[in-house]
Amino acid sequence: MKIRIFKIILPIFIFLPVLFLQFIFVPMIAIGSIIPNLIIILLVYYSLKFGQLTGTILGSIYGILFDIISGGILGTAMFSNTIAGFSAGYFYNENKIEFNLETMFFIVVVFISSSLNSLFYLLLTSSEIKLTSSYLVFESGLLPGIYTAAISIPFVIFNKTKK
Amino acid sequence: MSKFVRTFLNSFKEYIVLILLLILSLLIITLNENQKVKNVRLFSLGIFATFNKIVLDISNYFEDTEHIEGLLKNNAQLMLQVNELRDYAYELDELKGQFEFKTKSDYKLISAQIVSRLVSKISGYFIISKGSIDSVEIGLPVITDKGLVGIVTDVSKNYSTIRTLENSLFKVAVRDQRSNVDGVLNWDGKDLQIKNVPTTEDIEVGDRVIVSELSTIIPPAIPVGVISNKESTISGILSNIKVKPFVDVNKIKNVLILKKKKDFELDSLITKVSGGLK
Repeated sequence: MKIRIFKIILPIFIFLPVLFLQFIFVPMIAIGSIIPNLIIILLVYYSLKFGQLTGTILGSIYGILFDIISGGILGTAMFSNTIAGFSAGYFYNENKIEFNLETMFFIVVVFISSSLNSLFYLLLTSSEIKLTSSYLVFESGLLPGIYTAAISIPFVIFNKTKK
Repeated sequence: MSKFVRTFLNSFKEYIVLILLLILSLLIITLNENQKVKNVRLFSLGIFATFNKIVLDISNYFEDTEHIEGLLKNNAQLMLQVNELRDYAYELDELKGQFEFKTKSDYKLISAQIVSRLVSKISGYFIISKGSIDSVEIGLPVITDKGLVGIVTDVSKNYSTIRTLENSLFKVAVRDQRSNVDGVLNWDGKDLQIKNVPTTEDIEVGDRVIVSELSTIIPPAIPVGVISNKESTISGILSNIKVKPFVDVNKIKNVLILKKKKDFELDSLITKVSGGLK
């Protein structure tokens, strides 16, 4: 029971202030329309800590809450965050949890998950978007992924020093 | 058999959960227009926006917001009047003296603060600090002193959501103010574009684009932007026009909601037509 609380309930409580930061402060550090996604950093953290199943479920919960509060199309962030949580959980290794959370590996996983998240979010929310491959992969997938990964660096350093 | 099922579920539980959740999210996408779902969203939006508003109020404590709001309103009213006068000037050229000047500049504006924004290339939504209690309604246009920002899409008691120009679902009928060429403006993820305009039409880079009389949602003559580029499609018959908006939606902090005057004649006609189609 205690494990279940740590795996699902606690991450949801932590999610709310992060969502708050995402809406209030993150737009201030946007480069054009490219913004880092703090929610994905949190999602990757829990996916690498508790595994793929937790990552997938948390992704969908984070996504639906984001959709409800953002005013956007309901279900779109849920879809993309579920995929992001699942893909991050793919790198989960029971024996290397600490290593995964405290090294460059974490940043790489954030980059992959964030890129996938941006890509699927675009695919679902666009109606008449110019879906050229370069635009889709580079501008809408990789750039937000790189920015989010860069923002996750202090998070890794904090994890390391906390120890 | 049960052992096989159990083994199967254990081995593929991650994939099964993934597929189920993806199907669920796709189902939820189809529920977007459901009234009950809308009510839940408006409730959550209200709670979240209240927190955001408190933070914003703290950060704006030392600003003379009332004075700024007043100036913004004045600027917006002047902008709308100037645009109307510009329209009359073009019409005056055309009619050569048969013009009768009628002043219609009694715009009612509601000022609001952007409480929260979702900055994204495709999903431009803002939450603003005015709601139904301030007589904000769904469908009202949102402007600044420079031009059109978007349209109100959801309204709760104290807050509203607006869909900005930079949202792939936003579409508006516009016209070239100089040549009166009509088109539909939408966001393609990168630029504002008027697609498939015949190349023979008189459109030039630098022309001002305003909301057209054909728009049934947004009242006409609100400035939108200026034509920045014109490129022909492969066939050469049609061209796509790029429009640089007057308002940079990513930089604004305050907006104004325009209480449009109801065009009862047009509305009743639309109701008749849509009723007939049903």
